[in-house]
Amino acid sequence: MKKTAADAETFVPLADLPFHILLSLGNGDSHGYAIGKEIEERTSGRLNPTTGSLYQALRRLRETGLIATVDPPKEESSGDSRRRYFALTRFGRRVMALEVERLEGLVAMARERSLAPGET
Amino acid sequence: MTDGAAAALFRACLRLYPHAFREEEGTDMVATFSLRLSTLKRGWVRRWTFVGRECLGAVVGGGVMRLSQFLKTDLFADSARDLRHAARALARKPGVTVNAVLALGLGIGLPTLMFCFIYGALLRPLPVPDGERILHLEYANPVQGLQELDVSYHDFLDWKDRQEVFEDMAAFYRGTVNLSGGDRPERFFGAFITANTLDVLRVRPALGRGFLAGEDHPSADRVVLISDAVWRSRFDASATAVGAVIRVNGEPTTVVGIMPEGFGFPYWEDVWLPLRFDPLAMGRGTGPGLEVFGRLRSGATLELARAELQLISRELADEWPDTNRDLEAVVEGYTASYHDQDGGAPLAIMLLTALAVLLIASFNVANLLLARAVTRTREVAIRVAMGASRRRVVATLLQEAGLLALAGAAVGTLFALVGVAQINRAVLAAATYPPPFWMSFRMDAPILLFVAALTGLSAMASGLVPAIKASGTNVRGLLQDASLSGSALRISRLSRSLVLGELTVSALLLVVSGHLAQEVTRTRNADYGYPADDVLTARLGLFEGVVPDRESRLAFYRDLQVRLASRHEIASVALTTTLPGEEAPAGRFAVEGTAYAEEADVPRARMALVSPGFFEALGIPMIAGRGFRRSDDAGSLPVAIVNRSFAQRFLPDGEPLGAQIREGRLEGISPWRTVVGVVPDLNMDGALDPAGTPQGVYLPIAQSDARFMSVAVRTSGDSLALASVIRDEVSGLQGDTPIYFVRTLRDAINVGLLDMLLMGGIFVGFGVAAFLLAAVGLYGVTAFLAGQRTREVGIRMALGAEGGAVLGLVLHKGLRQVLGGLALGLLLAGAARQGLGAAGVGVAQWDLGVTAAVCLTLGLTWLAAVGVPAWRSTRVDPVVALQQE
Repeated sequence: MKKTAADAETFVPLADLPFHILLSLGNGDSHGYAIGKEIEERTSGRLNPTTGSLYQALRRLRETGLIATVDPPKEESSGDSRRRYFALTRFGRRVMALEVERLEGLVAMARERSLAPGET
Repeated sequence: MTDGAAAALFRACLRLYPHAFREEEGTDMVATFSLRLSTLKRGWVRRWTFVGRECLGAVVGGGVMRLSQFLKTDLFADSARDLRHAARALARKPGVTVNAVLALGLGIGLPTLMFCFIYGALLRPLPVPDGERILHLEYANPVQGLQELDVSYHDFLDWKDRQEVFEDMAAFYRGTVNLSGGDRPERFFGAFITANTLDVLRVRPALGRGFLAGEDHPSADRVVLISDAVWRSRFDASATAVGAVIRVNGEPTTVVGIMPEGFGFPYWEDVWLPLRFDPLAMGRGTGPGLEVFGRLRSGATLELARAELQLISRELADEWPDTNRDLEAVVEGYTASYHDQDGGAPLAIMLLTALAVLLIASFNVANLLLARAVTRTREVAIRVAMGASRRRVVATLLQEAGLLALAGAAVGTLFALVGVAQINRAVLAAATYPPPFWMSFRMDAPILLFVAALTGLSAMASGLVPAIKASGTNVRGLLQDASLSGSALRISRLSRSLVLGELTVSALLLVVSGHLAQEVTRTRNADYGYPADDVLTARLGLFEGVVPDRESRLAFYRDLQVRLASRHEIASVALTTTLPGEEAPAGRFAVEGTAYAEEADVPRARMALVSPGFFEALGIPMIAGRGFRRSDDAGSLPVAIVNRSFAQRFLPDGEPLGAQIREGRLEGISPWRTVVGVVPDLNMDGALDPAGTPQGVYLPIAQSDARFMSVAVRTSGDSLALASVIRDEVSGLQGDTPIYFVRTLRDAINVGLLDMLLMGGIFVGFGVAAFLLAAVGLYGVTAFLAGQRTREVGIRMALGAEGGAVLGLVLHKGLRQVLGGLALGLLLAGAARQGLGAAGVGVAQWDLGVTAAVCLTLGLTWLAAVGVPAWRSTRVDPVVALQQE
């Protein structure tokens, strides 16, 4: 089923963990372990999902069509063949773009009200 | 733990996820888990934390996913039809249904009653607007190990001034107040309160007004507030009471307001007077000690208040080291401050006990439903074979259990209503003092919420296992096997373990309750070394307005003793400020010849004033020396009598007689007193619940002064009949002086036993209920099992087996249960005893008699419950038995 822009709006705002998963996949296809590790590093440990919650989130994102499983990149396929790779779908990118737009709006508003750092 | 083992554990936890999820994600998840584990930094703590967190995450995640999936299915779709089905099924077997409803009724009723009691006694907030925001403040001195210290007026003013977490603060002290004028003099509990007290509480008088600012100054006109009860009893609820002038503690005072019915702040008071203090005229640290309370500002918390008051009390300690050194503010919820600190533990035990009874009841109903499930397995099998999903079958059976639980809840609520009425009556009857005004036992919203939770719990507990068991039967096998015996046996194994559980819990409860009951009886009738039963006591207070000075007070006591002694009904008379067995106030006593570096080094001892002949009158033998005589008066040598603990601890030279002691602090100005006698310890630190510091000193009344006095008279006859004699003689001497707390010395001591009596009573009640439920359950299961085996018994008997041998066979099976249940129950009772001990309701000795009695009772009950149906099964005609299906 073709997803529309209206569908994408229902996903915004994104919760913390899905947002960070999508953010990680913006860098290119990745597997569960790498996604979890990147999120932990990016948030300095604030967000450190258990394997269980990470995969539950991945599954939900997959079921709603924001991400999809893809073949491993060639150079790694010789390694661990059990590992699945995840990639952003076009719909996922659209949701992410909406979310970024929302955040930018908020940041702009904060700047207007001199709430951003360096604008005392 | 090796990586492999950790991965295996994680994989096991993944099993909680729904099948489809596990199938697709499982391998990947385990791989990721292993990779994360292998890249972990060294250290077993880090590894274990990681593995624990991962596994917990999987368990919770999987559980939640399963639950939400389960709830999304059409479990209760079409529930109207299912309900009808369930109701019809219940109606078909009225015996089973009534049995189950009664069992659940008892099972839900008992914990409800218990919860109602706990809630009313401990959890109900102060019944004023936003009562939970009222906090209570006092001092403690952790260095000297002193708790519950009063606050001086100056400290209260400084607190009030410097704090910011409270909207406002007020203070009070409690005492007794003498009302006279009009017909009769009467004594009431009264509170001396700051003028803003009612504002802080947000309570208005029902009639008239509260105190005005300034009315708590010594120069202000005298005003008083009275309770609804006093208004009714002394003024016949007349509106002219406001403005009337009555004598309060001998002073003419204007009644300015009547408080609403049920208001008894701070505890159970009936009369309120303004604190008449002038801080400028008082030295710091002098004046009566106060209790302080405040209303938290919105947004402020208890923790914040604690932090701020701690800071302020530290400031004050720095500024006023003489009076405030080491004093720390203690801030608590208002009602919580009046409960024992360890009060929570016994109540938790009681609630757990009550829930154990509910557990037994649920076991019983589960057993009954199981028994029916066996007979219905065929029906279920047919329904499953015809395409009903397992969930639907579970739902039907659960609805049956739910209906039963609802009916049980109705019966239980009824039961609890009756119980609450009984508790109210018992508390009023048992209490010499009224309970605090906020304590009230009634079935209202919080209690009914509790009932609802219990109902759901018991429906689940009694319905889920049979439902899953019955729906899980092998359909094809069942339809082929007409005798049903296979599934019956499987189910009977389960119900036997349920019975084992029942036996365990009831053995536990009976053993514990037996011991508690014994302990209560023992404490009630304890021998303290002084007569307690044939001594009648009464308290009286003299007021400045009536008996103005020390000389007239001493004369009053002397005359009273003479007049009472001359009455032929009375064998002997004694007067004292604190009766034996009551906790006496403690102070410092310096011993001559001992140097004290600090005030805290001066011996701490309890002190009581006693009349001449006090010890002789109560039949207490002197260990050494003599008792007080009439000649030990204000004009003669100051003397004292010490108790054994004092002599041993503070006069160690072996010759206490002749030693010199002095009341008060380092630089005391009171005279040195010569020790003229040593007496046994008479529980000066409290007989029931010793507060510590058993060392004590007795002084002659005539060499001191006191406005309150207890009279103790001894008789050989009915001691309570002497009450009117005392009353006559007191009013003969001074008509305005009422007497109060008229009771035997035993009752005076046992006032503190109320908690234990209630606790013991509740445990016995629970034990008996658990026992009855277990007996019924045992009977039901055995009867059912015996019924299932009718065919087998028939064959055995047809082949020539004796009735006795068959009986033995059936009995044998049950014997293991009863022995196992007893053993487990006794084991748990041992653990429970330690828990009770920790909770301050110590059971002194483990009594073999009580334990044996419980074992015997349970054994005999078991014999009856198992024996009757077993015996009945041997009466069966083999021909009939063999024809059965």
